[in-house]
Amino acid sequence: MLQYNVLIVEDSPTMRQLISFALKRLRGVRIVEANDGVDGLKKLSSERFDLILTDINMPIMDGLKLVSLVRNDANYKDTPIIVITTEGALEDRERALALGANDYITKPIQPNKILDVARALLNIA
Amino acid sequence: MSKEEDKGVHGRAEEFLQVFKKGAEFTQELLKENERLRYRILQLEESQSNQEGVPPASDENRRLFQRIEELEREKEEILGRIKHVEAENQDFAARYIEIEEENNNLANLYIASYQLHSTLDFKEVLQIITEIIINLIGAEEFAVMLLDEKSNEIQAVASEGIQREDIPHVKFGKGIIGEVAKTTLSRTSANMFVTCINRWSVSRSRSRSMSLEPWSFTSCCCKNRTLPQLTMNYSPYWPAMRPRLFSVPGSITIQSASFQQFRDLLNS
Repeated sequence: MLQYNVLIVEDSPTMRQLISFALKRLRGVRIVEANDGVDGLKKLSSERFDLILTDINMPIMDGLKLVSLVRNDANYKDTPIIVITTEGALEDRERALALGANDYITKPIQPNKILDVARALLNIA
Repeated sequence: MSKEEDKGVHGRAEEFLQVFKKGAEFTQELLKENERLRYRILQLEESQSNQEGVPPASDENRRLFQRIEELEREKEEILGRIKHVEAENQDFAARYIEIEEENNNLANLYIASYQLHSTLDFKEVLQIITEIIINLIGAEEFAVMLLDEKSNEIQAVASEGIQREDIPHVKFGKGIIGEVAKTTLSRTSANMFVTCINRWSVSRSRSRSMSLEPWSFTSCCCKNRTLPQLTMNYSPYWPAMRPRLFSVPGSITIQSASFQQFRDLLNS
């Protein structure tokens, strides 16, 4: 069976657990969690990921910087990225898409929405 | 030859000619009759070939007709059943969505409960409460209020969208928040709750020297989600209670009735 490696970059443990909980419903998904952008980059360099979910507001390195760095990395230029934004931050959302994010999810997080977007980007039926 | 003999020969010839003519007429009549009969045969053959499609009524045919009727009835019955199953499927699909929603809510509640009971540090608890409200409910402006039982005052211990220091204390039982706190907290034996407060509600209470009031009762947060009064217990006895709370994810009590209380108080 195919295995998909998914990286969740999020500083809030509650959010990480929530996203992880939702994604675990997909078959063959292995989840790796990172606390911030820098931690995310470390994990990205150590193994291959099929999907990246990142928050925007994080300490040390924010999600937008992470998206930009990931898109400039030859190994990850085609890897789907989902950005998680707050409802009001329209400009963040637009910037994230302009930087190369494939989709965005707004808070409050709805597990079904995460699943739908992840399924579509991972091409899981 | 004599004249009489001549007449006799002539008469016979006439007679023969008459017979011959009659024979010719008769032959023509026969030909016509023949033609008519041929035409009639053709007609009959044609009508017979047309009738071959419809078999003559016989026992076998009657049995077959009955069978056709039975099959038609069966078909109707099956179509009815298909419709019923389709309707049932739709019901199941709706039920599935409902259960999925319920499952999501339970997962959220589990995560919220798990995170809330993951630490005993007050600041961390507040941080978790704030995160839960932002991420699970989607509120952007609110305050976590704690009842100080000694001074009988309710004070903001954490906030989002407004500086905590700007939020005035509220007397227990006074004003909308105080009244809701009094009724809700006493009923749930909690001492902390979340309410929707923003800059507008704070400046309004200051300028009018009135008790702090929530800024909204139904649309505190984004879109169509409402911020229920989230009450929770935080006390020195918490460590002792922790195992029990852990096994009961519902220890976070969502008091949606508080909104009704707000409305009732506003209308009174």
